[in-house]
Amino acid sequence: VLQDLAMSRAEAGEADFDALIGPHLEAGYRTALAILRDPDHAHDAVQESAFKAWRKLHQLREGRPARPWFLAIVANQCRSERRGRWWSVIRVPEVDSVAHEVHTDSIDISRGLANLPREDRLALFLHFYLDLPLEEVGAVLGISAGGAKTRVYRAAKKLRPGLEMD
Amino acid sequence: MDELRSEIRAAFEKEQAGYAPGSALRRNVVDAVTAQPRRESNFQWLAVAAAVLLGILVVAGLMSTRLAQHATVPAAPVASPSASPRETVLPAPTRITVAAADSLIRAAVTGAHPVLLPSAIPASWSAEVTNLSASSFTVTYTSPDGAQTVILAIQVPNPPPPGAQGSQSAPMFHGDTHSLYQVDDKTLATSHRFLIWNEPGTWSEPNGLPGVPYFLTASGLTDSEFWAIANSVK
Repeated sequence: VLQDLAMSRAEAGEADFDALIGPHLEAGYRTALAILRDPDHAHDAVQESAFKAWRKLHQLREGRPARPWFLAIVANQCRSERRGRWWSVIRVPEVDSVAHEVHTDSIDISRGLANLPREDRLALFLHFYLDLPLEEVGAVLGISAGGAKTRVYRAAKKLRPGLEMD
Repeated sequence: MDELRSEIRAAFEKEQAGYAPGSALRRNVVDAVTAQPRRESNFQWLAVAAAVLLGILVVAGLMSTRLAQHATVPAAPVASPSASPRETVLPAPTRITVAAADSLIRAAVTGAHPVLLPSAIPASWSAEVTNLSASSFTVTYTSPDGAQTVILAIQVPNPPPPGAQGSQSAPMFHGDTHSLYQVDDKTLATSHRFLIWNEPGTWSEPNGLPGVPYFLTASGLTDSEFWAIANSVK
């Protein structure tokens, strides 16, 4: 009976993890790719983040939403990886290799994004690419929703200096 | 704002294109993760406890040595001289000539090829060799007045990132795309600065990067003085 109980608990844990974190693994991978700009490192970061999430799954059951919680783990893992290999050259996807079919403004935006501070770039990625609401952007970045709004606006303004907030 | 939103989204989409996660990402990650025990094994407390215990033992050992010496002070003079325990601790590195340091390093470091040393260090400077082994060394060159210092080492360094006044560049030193040149404070002409590069070659302690990891750092040197020394390594 005890063995069956242990088995059912293990299966429940796997099912819980798959149900809670599974839907956000792709978003985690894309976030890691946006930060690290290397698909292999992004895969590693997501895998390591998933291990951390698995070990700390009890934190999630305290009523926290899963997506920003997991993406925050991913972002922290990526920051750690970048600190650990700060001397290495980051490989940037060859956006310019298809520049002949890209509008000039797009090139400017791409270059502008590449030159933004890491946290500004992450804020724009989360809000404009992953469509996270500002509350969740703030949760990932470890700031308030108001702070996230300010960061997104300031980052956008760095790309378009004349930008006015809606 | 909406137009910019579209442009930003398009830029990120272009950046992410071609790097889509595999269809099995979710299954693979979940399978790998759930195969692990969930309880986090945290042995950090054990490491901290061991470090504290070791520290206490070291302090106790040093204090007992000092107390033993104090206790012998009022005693009658010993007829024959005996060595103080403190004299038998680690010998201080000896300052030698630049040429002697070169010979010493080239003879000892056999696990790294090539072994590079600067030829532009003035002969009047002194040298101090530490961390000498078959695969690594650290040599510190000091000017006669002590105002200028140059350190060259085979090691994988982990210096801090630059501050607000600092600067970093990738000089492609010796063709190394990973090379990094950092000036800690570019408002000071003789600020502390360093150059890290991987010299093409072989190293008996591979660290995942090709070649031999060299670390050149200097204090009290201008940019041109630093590069004169950097460009003289051979």
